[in-house]
Amino acid sequence: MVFPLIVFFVLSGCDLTDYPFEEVTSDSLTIVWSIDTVGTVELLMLNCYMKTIMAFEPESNPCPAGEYNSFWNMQDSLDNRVPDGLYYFRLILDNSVIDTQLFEVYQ
Amino acid sequence: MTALILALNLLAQPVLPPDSLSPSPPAETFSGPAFRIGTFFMASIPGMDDEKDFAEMTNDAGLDFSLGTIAWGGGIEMLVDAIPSKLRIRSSVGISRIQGAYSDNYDPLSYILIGIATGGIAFLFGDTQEIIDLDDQELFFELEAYYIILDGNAFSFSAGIGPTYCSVRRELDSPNTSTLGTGSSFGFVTSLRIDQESTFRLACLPVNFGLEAGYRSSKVTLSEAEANEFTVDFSGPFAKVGTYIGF
Repeated sequence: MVFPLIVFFVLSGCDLTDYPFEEVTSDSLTIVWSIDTVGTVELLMLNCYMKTIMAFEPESNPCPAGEYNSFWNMQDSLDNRVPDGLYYFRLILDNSVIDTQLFEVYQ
Repeated sequence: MTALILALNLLAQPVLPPDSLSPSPPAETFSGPAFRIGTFFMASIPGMDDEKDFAEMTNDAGLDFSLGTIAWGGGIEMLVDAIPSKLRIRSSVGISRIQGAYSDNYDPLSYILIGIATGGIAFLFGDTQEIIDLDDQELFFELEAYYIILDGNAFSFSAGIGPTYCSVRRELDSPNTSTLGTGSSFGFVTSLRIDQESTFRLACLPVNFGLEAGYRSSKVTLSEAEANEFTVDFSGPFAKVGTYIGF
């Protein structure tokens, strides 16, 4: 009886799953995004209530096609550390959402 | 609840008036009870516009997030016939719930192997594979006044309207985080009811059934600052069935 229990708890503790989002435990995050065409870009971080907590500034706007990085220090627009939870990065090109990335943030 | 209703249907026996076997026309002795108390089971189709937007955003992130379309609920309620014989009052307290989830595509072979290796324990207590779990719950209080349109010996038909008070909680869980939002609000309910007026006896208890359908407004804005006026909207059409003990 003990052996199955041990096997159960060991296996249930194993990470057999590749979550389709990034776990963030550090105090900074580099977000990689890209666009195929030149256009006006908005970079927003939303919380799980779809509230925009941070707007990132692209290097230039309109933004040429290419791959870029945006740095997030886990703070909202008021410089407060965001609480643990799910956060959504949205890339908006010419008023159309073209990419959404999900991050699980916890300390 | 369904099983209970079926059991009641099978076991309950009608209470016949003393002269029911006589050739004379049925006497109007099937007067319904003036006070009923019992439980109900409810299904509704809530609006949940913000939750639908949330589900869409999550799907945009590459997850196959599934939001339920039907809110299931139940509770306790009592019905009182007021002095004007055409008026009936109902007060209820109940819970309604709708869920959404993103479940990982688990490997059935691994699941079976783990189950066998653990002597079946994993089948009983194993991981449900829900990676993101959304749970919207509503606790509501309703007070509704009905006008009895038709009052037959067996059934009565009534229409009503009344206020509601609801308190909601929205819980969003991921593997390492949990986010809770709460709020409360007033609303209203309007509906049509069919009540059984002829009494059945179940274990010496007088039992009546009731059916109700209508629309309820129950839109709550979450109170947390970070919630950004996010609303949990249980408003929508509903149907419910109740089983009562009448006095």
